[in-house]
Amino acid sequence: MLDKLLNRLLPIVCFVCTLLTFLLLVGVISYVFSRGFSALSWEFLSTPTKEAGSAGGILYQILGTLILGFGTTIFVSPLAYGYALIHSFFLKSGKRKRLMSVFIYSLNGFPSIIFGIFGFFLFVKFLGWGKSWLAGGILLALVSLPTVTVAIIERIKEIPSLHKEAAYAMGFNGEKVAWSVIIPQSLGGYFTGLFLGLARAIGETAPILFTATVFAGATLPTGVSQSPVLSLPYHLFVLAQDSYNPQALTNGWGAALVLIGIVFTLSFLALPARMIVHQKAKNDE
Amino acid sequence: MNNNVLISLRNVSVFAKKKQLLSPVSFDVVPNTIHSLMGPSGVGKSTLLKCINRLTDLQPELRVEGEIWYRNKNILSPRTNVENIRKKIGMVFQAPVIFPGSIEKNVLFGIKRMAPEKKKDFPEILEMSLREAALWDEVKDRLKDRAHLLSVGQKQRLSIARVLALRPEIILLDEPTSALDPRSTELIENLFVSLKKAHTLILVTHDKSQTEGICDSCIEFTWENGVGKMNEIQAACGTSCEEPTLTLAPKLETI
Amino acid sequence: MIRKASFFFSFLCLIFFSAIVIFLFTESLPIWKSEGASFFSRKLWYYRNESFGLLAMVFGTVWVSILALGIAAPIGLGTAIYISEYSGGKARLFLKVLVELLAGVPSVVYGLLGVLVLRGWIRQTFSLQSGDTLLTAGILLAIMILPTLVSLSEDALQGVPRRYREASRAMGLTKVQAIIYTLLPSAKTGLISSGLLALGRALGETIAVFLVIGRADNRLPKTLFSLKPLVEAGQTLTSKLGGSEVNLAYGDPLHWGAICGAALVLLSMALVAYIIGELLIFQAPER
Repeated sequence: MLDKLLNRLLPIVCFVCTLLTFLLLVGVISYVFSRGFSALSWEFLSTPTKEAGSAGGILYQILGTLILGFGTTIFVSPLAYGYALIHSFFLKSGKRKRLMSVFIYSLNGFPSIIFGIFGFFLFVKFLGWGKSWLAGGILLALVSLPTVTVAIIERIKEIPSLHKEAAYAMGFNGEKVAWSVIIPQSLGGYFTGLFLGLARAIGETAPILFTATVFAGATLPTGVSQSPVLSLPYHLFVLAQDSYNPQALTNGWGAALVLIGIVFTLSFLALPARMIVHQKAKNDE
Repeated sequence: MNNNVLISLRNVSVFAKKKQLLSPVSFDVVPNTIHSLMGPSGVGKSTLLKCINRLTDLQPELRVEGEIWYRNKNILSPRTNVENIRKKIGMVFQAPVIFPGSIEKNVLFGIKRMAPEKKKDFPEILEMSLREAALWDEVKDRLKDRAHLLSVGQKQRLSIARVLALRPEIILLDEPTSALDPRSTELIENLFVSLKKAHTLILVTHDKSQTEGICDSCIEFTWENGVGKMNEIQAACGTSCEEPTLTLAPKLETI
Repeated sequence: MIRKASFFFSFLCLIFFSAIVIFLFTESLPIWKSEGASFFSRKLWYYRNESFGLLAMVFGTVWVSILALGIAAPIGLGTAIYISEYSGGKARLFLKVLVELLAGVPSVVYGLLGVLVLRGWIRQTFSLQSGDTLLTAGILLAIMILPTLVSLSEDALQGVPRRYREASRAMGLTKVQAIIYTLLPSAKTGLISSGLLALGRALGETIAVFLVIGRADNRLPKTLFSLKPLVEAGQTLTSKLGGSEVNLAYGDPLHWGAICGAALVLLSMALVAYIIGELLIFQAPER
């Protein structure tokens, strides 16, 4: 009896859930789009903010976000590649490898505000940098580290062992095999991971809140210490808290749209690789 | 049609989208025999097996043409109640399928849902099915244990017991021993011979000696222009066959 | 050369993350010395009186996260079942990619939506004075973790080999019966794991929660299971740590210790949920 009822009900319930999920999520995007689109113009993208966000554009917020993304790339690349190479190529013993896996996966579980508090202590106070774009880059590199590393590890795993054996058979040592086989064949994984990691890092507010970004009064950084940047997420964060000026809000939605645009562009760049993963999951059955 | 025929395939062919996978196949199966389907991998034997219980429905890209007659009903007709058919035609897969939970739960998995009204008979069905699957003596003291702890050979016999619990008339076997060691294979082959008394078995196999050892007839499939094709039916019963005269005679008449 | 460099950078990764844990631990020592276990049980956080208790914030964090999971888990499971079992081939791929894309929307954008849309809606629906409530934060978080939940649960369902579906269908079970009696039990570990990973994310989410929760200290109901706090302002561990009090606290060892202690507690909660979730995936059941 119950089974008969479920036979009819379950497909409907699941369909309604799916509808709800996508209406909610697509609704979020289209809402931001509809509110922010009117603010978008070349001028909006290319002029600095005036009057606490109610006039002018978001030039330095965009540049600041790009600078933070650049810093993230610089720091996360060697860390992630080094970690992935040790984990999947240089280490042979299973136990240490397993430990390294558990470690890198648990990093994903670090709440991003923890990086903010740590960075505030280390960079702002202990090293006396004050707010600095460099601190932001390093902290966001830590945020994106697991994503990039895991993507490289997954790709290294897929390299056919025949390729490695062929290289060893030519008399290559581990170093040369790394340069000639492992790194070239895992670059795709690196870029996929980097795009996904950057998409996540660039949208983060909590790690840079106390350490790297201000709402107004900064342009391009010239040094390391006392050199904060403006950034899109922090701009939105401040506007969301205390702006009742309708024009500032419209500009805020515009900034949100630009941020989503950057994040989605990065995700799109990683898309082909993700598609392959999903297709494989289906075929593996 | 010979009224001793249990199930009869008439011009059954399979297409994937537009491409033909299997040219028309026709044969009859008489009760209480083991029928084997042999041939190279990918030739469409397993797919043909899945046509018989309409499991091909799960792959929407497959299209099946022709007729399969069973008890005066065409299985392939869209009006057929596939759930009832599948209750009567059980299936055992290449690798054992063990559901999470105890041994007991696994045996009763199907019958609990298909015939919940028989609840008071469950203990009896449990023992009978496990005995039939030659597993009872090994597990009778630990029916509540997790089924995942069994060996692969035991798991496959447990999968068979689960199918037997539904009292099927026909059992479809899709390379049931290919994942097993020789010892378990032998055990299960003997099991099939004993199951023949009460059931009819259709077996897909790669193993020629298995066919010769336990089967009553054999259909070979080959490639022809990239499409699977059925060769003629051969009597395949070897020396270990227990009741050759009883089962072979009617079958030969039908050819 | 590359071997040495790789070892150096891996070592740097380990050092960074151990440094974070060690830093939180040593910097929070003053509060453990002065409060000990009463740091958890004390109801009042009032730094001017040097009174530091986490109870109200832990309460807020737990309420908001459970609310988020409670709303998102059923919807996410339903969606995952639909994508995995009822949508085929290209449609499945499209939905899956769309979900992953949507998982990337930055939390500050959700925060903005929470402030400007959800807050007003909650205020009107429950005729409240302010729309900054635990419920607002919970609903917002539910929307935020939904893509993660859907994506991971769908992976778990997809991980169940096809022969499980076939074997149960071959016994005459209907599609729905096969889903309920075979698919869901077989994917149980993976599904629980996806819930835990989403919970870990909900526990640690700062910015969106910060913007809609009202950040009112010391709100504890008289009885533990009262629903009233749902429609009132509150504070979570993250909203405290995202606030300006962090700047203020530095320099006063006890106050700074309390902040770092709160961060340590937050990290432990999130990591426990997360690591158990990851371990469950690693030791997926034998298939």
